[in-house]
Amino acid sequence: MEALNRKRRFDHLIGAAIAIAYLLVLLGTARDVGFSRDEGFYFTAAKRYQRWFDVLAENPSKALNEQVIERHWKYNREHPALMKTLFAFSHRTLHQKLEILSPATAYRFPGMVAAALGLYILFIFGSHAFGRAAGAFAALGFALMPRIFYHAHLACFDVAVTTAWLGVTYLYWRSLSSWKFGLAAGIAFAMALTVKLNIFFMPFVLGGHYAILMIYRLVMKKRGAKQRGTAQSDPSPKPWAFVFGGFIGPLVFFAHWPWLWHNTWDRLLFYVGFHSAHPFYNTAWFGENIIEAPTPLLLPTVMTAMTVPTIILVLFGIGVILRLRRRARPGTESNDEGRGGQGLDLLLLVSALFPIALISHPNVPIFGGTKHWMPAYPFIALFGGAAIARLISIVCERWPKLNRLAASVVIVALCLAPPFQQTIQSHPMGLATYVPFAGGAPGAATLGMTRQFWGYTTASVAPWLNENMDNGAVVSFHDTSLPSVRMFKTEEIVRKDIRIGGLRRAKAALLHHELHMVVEEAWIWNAYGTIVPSHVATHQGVPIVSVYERPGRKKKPPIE
Amino acid sequence: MLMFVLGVVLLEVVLQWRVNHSAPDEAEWLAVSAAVRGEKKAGDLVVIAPEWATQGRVYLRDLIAPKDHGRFDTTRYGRVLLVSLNGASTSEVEGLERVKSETFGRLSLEVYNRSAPAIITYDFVENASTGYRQNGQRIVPGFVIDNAFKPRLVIPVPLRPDGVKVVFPDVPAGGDVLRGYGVVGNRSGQFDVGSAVTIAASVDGAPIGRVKVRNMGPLEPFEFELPKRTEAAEVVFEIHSTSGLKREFGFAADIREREK
Repeated sequence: MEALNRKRRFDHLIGAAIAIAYLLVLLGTARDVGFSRDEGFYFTAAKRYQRWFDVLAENPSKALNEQVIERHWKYNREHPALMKTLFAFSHRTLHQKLEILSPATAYRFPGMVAAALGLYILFIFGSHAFGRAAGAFAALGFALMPRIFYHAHLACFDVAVTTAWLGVTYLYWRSLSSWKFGLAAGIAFAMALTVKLNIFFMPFVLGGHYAILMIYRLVMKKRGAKQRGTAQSDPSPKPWAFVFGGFIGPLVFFAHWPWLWHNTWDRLLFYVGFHSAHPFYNTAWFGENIIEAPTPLLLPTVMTAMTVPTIILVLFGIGVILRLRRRARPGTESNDEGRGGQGLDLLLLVSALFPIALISHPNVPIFGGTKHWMPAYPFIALFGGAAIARLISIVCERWPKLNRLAASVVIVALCLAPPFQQTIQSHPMGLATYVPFAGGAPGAATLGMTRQFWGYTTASVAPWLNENMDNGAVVSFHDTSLPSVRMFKTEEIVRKDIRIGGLRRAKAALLHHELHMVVEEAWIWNAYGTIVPSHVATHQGVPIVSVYERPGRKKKPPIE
Repeated sequence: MLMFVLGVVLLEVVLQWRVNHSAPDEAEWLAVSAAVRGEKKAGDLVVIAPEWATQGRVYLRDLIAPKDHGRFDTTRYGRVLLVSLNGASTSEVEGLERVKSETFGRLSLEVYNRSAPAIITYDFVENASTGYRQNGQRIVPGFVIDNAFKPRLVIPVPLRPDGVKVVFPDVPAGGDVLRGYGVVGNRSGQFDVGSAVTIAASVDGAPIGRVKVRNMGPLEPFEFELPKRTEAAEVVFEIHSTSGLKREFGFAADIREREK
């Protein structure tokens, strides 16, 4: 028992080390990643919410006033408040007070911490379920998915909700045997609800899993058969997570969001209604622009296959097959090193498939690349870890003299080589990255797939703008939102004297290349009378952002 | 299983390496551009494949004229100079005879001949400055994007329920056929629903043809037979739509000799 406790403490240390290392990498590479449209909106929201907290600190009764709450919290009311509040506090503390991070990085820091926390949980989950090597592969494999690496930098919610989904799932699984974990799951679920709407689906997923477990036990009991796997030693699954989550969740959700403190029901309805009737945004799919239902059924699956490193998906497939085959053979141990039980395989499989299945519905809007089904990815990585654990066993059985630790390190490292290579090469154009089996960015461009969105790639042409624009030149920044452009200037990535303007006034116009944006490129050609860009930023040879200049502009060097 | 996994790892790493090294560098672009500049003659079309390699226009500059960039088809071009990235090709050279090929690293220049290009005697878009709308407003060609996201250089026409006339008062004699395209512009990937747009043409007041242009589907050219002429004539296009009046619309047309 003491050895097991020591092992688990060491697991926490390893998990924490992986998380901290990833956080440091994210911090070190943050400046390369341009500011996305949504980040601009969340910077603005964070500022407004911070001002409310300042009012709260000075005059609590005034802060509770309905008009005051409305003035500060109405902005971006389609998303709950936790992450934006964290962005605000982080900015206030790490930038304004301590001055240890730049403004943008300070805003982004909570998102990065959420990503790092996800790795920690993933390592612990994988280690617990399938062994330490599996946990390491799962955590690092997830970290090295190029699109995850990109999203992990951002002051957005997508990686945070992925971490939240993972955390709640892990704690739920543990809670099936422990009320303490049930309480933790309830608290985690409550916090997760305050991150993003995706979590509202979790009770169905976990509830469905629980129901299947109970039905299975009943059926087995009636048949009088021995239960499979380690289930003979599994206690009856307890519903603690639902009890605590059902009680704590709504309370925390209400309490955390001042916007809900008045006209609660109407505002809740707005929140749900906004997302249930979410507009479609443009998505390119094999040369077709998807802007309305029905969306292609296979779009999420194909995009996953085209953007998640193939070795991870191959190992996912192997892991699923191995685990299913194990279930078919009675009396076997749950895994090579860790412990399974309590319907773990079913839970992981459902968690891997549900987010993809949900968004595959033809009436569900698909936009934003792969971010809306990213909660599936940690579970894909976990199955990959299960496959890794089996691979290590095969190698060690084949060559018994091999040191198991050394074999584990080599196999994990080899299997992480492609994701590592792809992530290194993807940075900072994560959203333009596709796996080499899809031909990379060039292959995807030829196929007519989404090249980018969100306008973040302005960062790639900022050096050219700084070098070539006159002092005070007006530039049209196309798809980069106004608050994001302002942040580019605040961070001095774009020169501060460069002004923001529309096409008519601008001396230079950016064009972020997406399929449907060629319409706006034509506006530039018509306005400027030229089809020749002055500068093009590319990724793997594929144009990402073009800069057009209005002809006849006399160049003056910028004032130093 | 081990060998399969290692095989996937190795293949993925090698393929990624190839992707990483697939982008031409500036020296290659400059070299191919110089070769195109040396090769190109009047009447040649320069195209880049794959289509998305638009950075090529930074180097090729004036070698791709706006009218070429916004072309509807290649029938008028005697030669097509294809700048190819990593061996990519285009359907626009299908059926043409390749007469020359030169490689510049990851780029290549291929020259294709068309045996019997269309003989264009008058191009309305090129001569847009000589035309005007019924209210006297001058015409300025512009690009619209069609439903396949291709750029087309057209004479833009605002849609009105009572029709819009575009007048070319002094079109020289010559040519047998008036051939053209109408295109409804693709605004941000969405199509306004509306009626078909009617294009009617007349020469010195005598109607020569009428066609309906729809939003969707591949662009199809229209052709109107021209009366025999020995003198310059006034050609009028009348554009008419009963609904969907906010749509962008434009047309391009030329007069050419009949294909032999």
